[in-house]
Amino acid sequence: MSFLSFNFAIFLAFGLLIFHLARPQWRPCLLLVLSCVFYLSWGLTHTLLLAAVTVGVYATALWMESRPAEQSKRALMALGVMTLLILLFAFKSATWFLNEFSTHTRRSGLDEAIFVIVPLGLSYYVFRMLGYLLDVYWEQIPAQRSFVSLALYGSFFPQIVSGPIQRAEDFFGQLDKIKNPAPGDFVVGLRRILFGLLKKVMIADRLAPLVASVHANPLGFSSLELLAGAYCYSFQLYADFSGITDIAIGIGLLFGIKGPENFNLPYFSPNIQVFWRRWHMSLTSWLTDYLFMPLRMSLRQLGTTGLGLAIFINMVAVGLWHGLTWTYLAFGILNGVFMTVSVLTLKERNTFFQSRPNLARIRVFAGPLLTFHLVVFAQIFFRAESLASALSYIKGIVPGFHPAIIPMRRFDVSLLDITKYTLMLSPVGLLAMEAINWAVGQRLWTDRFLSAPRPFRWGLYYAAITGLLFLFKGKMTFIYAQF
Amino acid sequence: MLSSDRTQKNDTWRSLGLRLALFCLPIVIGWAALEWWAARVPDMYSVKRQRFQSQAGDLDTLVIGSSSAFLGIVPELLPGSAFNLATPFETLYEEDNLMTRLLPLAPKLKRVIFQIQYPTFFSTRNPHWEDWRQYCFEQEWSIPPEQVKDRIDCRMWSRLALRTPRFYIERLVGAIRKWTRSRKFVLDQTEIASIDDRGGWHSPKDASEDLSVASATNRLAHHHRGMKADYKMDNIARFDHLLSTLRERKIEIIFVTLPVWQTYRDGMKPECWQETQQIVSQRTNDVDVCYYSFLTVPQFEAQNFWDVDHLNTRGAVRFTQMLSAAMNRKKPDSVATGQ
Repeated sequence: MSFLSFNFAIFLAFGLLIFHLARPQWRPCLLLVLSCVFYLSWGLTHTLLLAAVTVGVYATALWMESRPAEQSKRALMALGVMTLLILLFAFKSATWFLNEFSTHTRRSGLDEAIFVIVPLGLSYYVFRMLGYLLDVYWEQIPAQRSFVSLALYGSFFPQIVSGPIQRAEDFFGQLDKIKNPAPGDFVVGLRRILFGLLKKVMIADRLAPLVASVHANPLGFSSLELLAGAYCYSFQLYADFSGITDIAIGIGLLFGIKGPENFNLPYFSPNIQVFWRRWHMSLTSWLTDYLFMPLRMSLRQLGTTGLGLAIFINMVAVGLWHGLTWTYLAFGILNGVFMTVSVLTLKERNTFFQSRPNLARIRVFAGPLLTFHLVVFAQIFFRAESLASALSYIKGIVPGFHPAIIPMRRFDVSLLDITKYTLMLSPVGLLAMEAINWAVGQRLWTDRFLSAPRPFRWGLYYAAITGLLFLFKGKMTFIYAQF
Repeated sequence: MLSSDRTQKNDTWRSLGLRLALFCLPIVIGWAALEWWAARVPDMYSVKRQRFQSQAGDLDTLVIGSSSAFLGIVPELLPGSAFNLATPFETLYEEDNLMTRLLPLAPKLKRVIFQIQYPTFFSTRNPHWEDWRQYCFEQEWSIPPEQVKDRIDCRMWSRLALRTPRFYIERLVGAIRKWTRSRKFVLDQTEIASIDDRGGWHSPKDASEDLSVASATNRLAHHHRGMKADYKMDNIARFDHLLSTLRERKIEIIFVTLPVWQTYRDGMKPECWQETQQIVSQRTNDVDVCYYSFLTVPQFEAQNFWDVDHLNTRGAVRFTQMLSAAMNRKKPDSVATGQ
């Protein structure tokens, strides 16, 4: 059941009705049942796996907490963490192995039906459970006594498909809100869902055909077309991922849970460090706390080299979290290099620009522009179907390196599966989206909107809903739902 | 929480609920109106059902199968009164259920032409990507999806969910435009225009698309993705049930394999095709069952094909004439070549 399907709309409407009509003390159980029904719609086997993981983590955390000796606590923590990591690695590597195997042996036909499906949201719930186990071990939170609460944390249906990765402490701290959700949160949630759907349907899905075309056959397009494809993918990815995050946060609010934010105007970041603090924030902050900080501590005797190494490993982990493929590895390595260079040279750069005020003014604009282009470049690897395909894409962009006989400056919109209006309006749409994102964070603008006459506000909502229904293409998936 | 707080909160929820209901009311009304409209917009499945039902009493020959038969068999060239009920990606489950429901409507039916193609016994609706078609069978013929889990889906009853709201809004806008010009409310018939008025045959253009090896490889890969040896036993059971239903009514059964272009034929897995032929041959010993395979006949050239596994109009006419001639001859002793 995709978030963008009529089945899900009906499921959510009925779920909300039952939830809000139920007695407050039953609501967490009801929400768990709804989460299980939602996950069951993707398959029974994967639901059983999720249940097994939850039972295992619940028992391990309680057992770990009850042990007086530090050594046995550590052993239990290591056992839990290793089991979860092996599970994650096994599914991700099985897919990689079978892909490689079928490519090398060029098997086709009926044998292609043999494949491993990575359970929906595996990376998300494994990371949530890992964080919970480590938090209990580090005594930042007590082990959860209520199995329902832990199971709900692991399987909370708005967040299981594409995150955000909410911390255990934050989630458990809001359990009372499930029993008594605030009406204000409900309205904010509805608005958030509508905004997320608009991002997905009006921006991301409009650009998807162009991106699919250029990445399917990079050699068939000119440098200019490939360049447009690279920019469009960055727009698509952001609109798609932030769209599903908005929907997830919005649905969570309908049930009283506020999920963590994942984005904060990332494409306006002055440098790559800031970009990664504003992009997929729930993952990067998770990795910072559970991977980077322990690494940094253990490598501190190496000084700057240790810092660079910790940053690099952290960024490679960001890449491989998406899947064990060469393209994600390349994406991680590239970002690792960008980040390491950026962090290690930041002090010198700041000193340089402090003494040159004219250049510093240019830096205000050039910094975000350069950062955006580094991100666009790295995302070519993220989207490419293989490493070879990514390399030929990049070769195709560079003038003079395009292997095919296609005029470098050709820009034939008809070949790109997109209309010129869509192409022109997509950056405008993205800017409008960012302006709204910014305004939502400003009290002044929020108050102005909320104090506007109701017919005006409702008119906007109806227009948005009509636009959505008109542009909706049927069953669709989100890019980050595959991880 | 104090009881006064709770009462205040309940009041807020009540007022929010009322506002929400008021907000949703136009949406619900609009949706219902669009559903009502959508039910009036014909599509391939509804048109076939309506035309079949209007002729069912006089029919003596029925064609069932998937897209190859839908495009490749011209009912008016067959002897007697015939109707082509084949639709793209029709599965054995749907064909079996379709016959059970249709036979009482067609009292004069004496012959069923059943298309056997390469994926027939190895494919099923799920997890095939064209799973939406199963809901067309539910909406038109009340044949529920095979898997129980697929029945919990609003496409069981909603046309808007089966297609998209846009599809029906565009047709409505088109019809209103025509009405403003000519004061006649005329529906857009693009989708059903190519379906033959009486016989249910979809006439493709005479042009040939890409018949290259690459095109055949793509087409075969598409078929192979949905083909699995595990589906065979269930499909054979459905096939046998279908045959016994027809035999009970003493209806003549003609299995037929339509020609495919050589690039497609060369890419077929020989073991799968041999197994298919074996399954069919084992069931052709009865008096009223025969099998004509036109898979390898040399008479069909590139200009007879629309794509690697579908005939075009010219090919369909030629093929149906050959099939008619073969049917008029004596029943073959074993698997016929159709020549």
